[in-house]
Amino acid sequence: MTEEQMLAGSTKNNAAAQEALYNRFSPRMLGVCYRFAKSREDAEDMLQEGFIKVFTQLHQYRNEGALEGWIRRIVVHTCINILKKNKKFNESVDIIHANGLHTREDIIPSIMQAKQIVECIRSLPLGYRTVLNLYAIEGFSHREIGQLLEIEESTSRSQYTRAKAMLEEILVKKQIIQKYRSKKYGNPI
Amino acid sequence: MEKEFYNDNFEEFLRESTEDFKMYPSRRVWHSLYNDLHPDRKWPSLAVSLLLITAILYLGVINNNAINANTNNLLAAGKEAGEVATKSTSFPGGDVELNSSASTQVRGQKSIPVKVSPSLVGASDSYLVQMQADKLRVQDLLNLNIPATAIPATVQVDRNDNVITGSPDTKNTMRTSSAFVYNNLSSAQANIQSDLNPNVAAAQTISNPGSSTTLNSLPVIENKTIDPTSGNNTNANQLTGGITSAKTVTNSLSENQIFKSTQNLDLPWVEDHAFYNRKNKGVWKAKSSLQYYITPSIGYRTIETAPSPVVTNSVVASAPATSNEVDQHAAINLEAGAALRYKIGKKLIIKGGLQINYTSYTINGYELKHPSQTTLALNNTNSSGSSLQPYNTSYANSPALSNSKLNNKTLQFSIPLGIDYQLAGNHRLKWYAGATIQPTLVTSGNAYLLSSDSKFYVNENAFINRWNINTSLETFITYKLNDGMLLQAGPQVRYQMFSTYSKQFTASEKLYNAGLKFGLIRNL
Repeated sequence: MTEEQMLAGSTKNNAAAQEALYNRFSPRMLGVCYRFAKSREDAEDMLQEGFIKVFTQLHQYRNEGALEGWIRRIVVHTCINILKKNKKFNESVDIIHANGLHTREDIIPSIMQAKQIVECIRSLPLGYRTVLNLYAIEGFSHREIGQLLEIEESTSRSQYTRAKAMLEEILVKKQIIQKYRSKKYGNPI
Repeated sequence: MEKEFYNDNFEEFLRESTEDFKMYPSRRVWHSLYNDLHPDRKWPSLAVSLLLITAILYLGVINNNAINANTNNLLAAGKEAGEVATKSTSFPGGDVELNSSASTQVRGQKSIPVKVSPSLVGASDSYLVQMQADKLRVQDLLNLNIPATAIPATVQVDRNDNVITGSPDTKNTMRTSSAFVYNNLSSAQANIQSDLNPNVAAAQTISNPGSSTTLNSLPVIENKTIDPTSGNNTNANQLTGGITSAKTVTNSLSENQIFKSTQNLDLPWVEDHAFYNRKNKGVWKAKSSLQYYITPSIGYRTIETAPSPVVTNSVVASAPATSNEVDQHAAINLEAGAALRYKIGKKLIIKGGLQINYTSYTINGYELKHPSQTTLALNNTNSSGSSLQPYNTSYANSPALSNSKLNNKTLQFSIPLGIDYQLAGNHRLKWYAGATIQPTLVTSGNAYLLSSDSKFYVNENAFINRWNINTSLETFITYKLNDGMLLQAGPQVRYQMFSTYSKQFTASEKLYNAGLKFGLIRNL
């Protein structure tokens, strides 16, 4: 089924088309959710919420830009909304008070690089993780992050700097990157 | 400006590394999504379930009516035998007459059904028929079109975080035994790490016979190398073959061999081993939950009485006019317990636990001023048939002059073992049907037994069976709270399979109750 057929069918609430669309994009979107979520189960809940929004808002998609990018944007916003609803996230305004928090990097296994990097990101405190995910991977600006998480733009910026430093340290410790190797991170060692 | 200031290769590195990170959601997500998107299609299953419950209730009512008719026949036969007795008997106490010609009819709704519908108990089978295991279609995942050469960091992870197919580094993702062995073996290929040959780890390791003396000593069953350029559809199959090879090697290794092969190696295999063990435990925990519940209910009984061999007059010092009617009433019962639930399928949960039950019903009786003597019909232990045994009692069966509520109660401990089956629902609200069978220990109780002539009650607890089996049927809804905890509520029917009394007593009583079960379910 082509992307156009999936789109047309899903807009008409055709179950087969919706399933095809879901099967096409859900693995990558679950990977996105997993970076934000506390557990796989939470990630699946986020994915489900996200795809409900995708299917209910699909008629608004205007073929401007890639469909995957559009879906990803919705899924990321859904993740953030769910995290914001979660009391723990609000309490952890560890967005502000995350200094000195210990990560769980000591339990991260030496498994393949992508998953290992994702696990390293997930080992960061919730606030650090969220800002880093949004800025470094999803391409949000600090202003957008500030609006999204209802924090100051400067807070987002400083938290990202700390998150980045912490993640770098973990990645070096896990021998995924070499320390300050001419600021080149491209090749894993 | 801002982006340029903060952005360096680090962001690019992270983005590239995680861009193709994939995980495969469980089918549960799609099913929940489908139910949310197409709520109208829930109705067939809802209607079928309602029909099923209605049918069960209908069969129960029909059976009860038939039983009542049987009881009347039995009691009528008893009444004819009772004609031998005097129509009017004076007692030494003198102030009361017993009239044995009173109707043997059982009063009102509180009739004495002889049997209980087996359909009520056996109905759980029909749920079982609907159950279908939901297996992850691994083959579908394996056949995905992902070019091995085009995705340097592509990782695809199944539900248990296993890598289905992927980049060179997928070697570390083989779980437990294969991961264990790999990490031992991979030290030997440390010198070939610069070669990013995208083969599967096990296959890669095995196909480099010169890389390690340890490898040479291994009884390799299969030597298989995956060609990354051999095409998308065969890639997964080759991977499967590679994994099989690794597993074969693993199985053929003795612990001693593994130890020797690793003792000189400085690899973090211990960490990986611990990780995989942790993950396995996590999977078990993810599927398990703990349930606490309490069930206030209304309890009642059915009783089947055998015709007495001989119906005699009781010798009563002082008793009111008695009758053969049994005036019994339902009473409040209570159940509380905890159970461990384990999800074995998309919709199927098995459970087992420990439960305490307080059962009760009351009989309206008349407390005599002076004890009287009566008889109980007891089965002969050495021969067939029954005989009458004398007992003293202070309670007469006199509904018209009732002044005392005789509370028949038991305290039971049971081990409920059963299943819950999800009929419908989304990720927050779910509807289940469940059934359990409950081996039960009756630790204490109070029994008022009807005398052979149905005119007295004898308080005799020695006839209470210590062991019994109960069954329960329930349907309930669960609501998921934000913290992941589930609230549960729904009706439940519990039925006792065997008589409350031992075989020595001729009557057979079976308790049942119907109530509302409230529960709290939390993940382990």
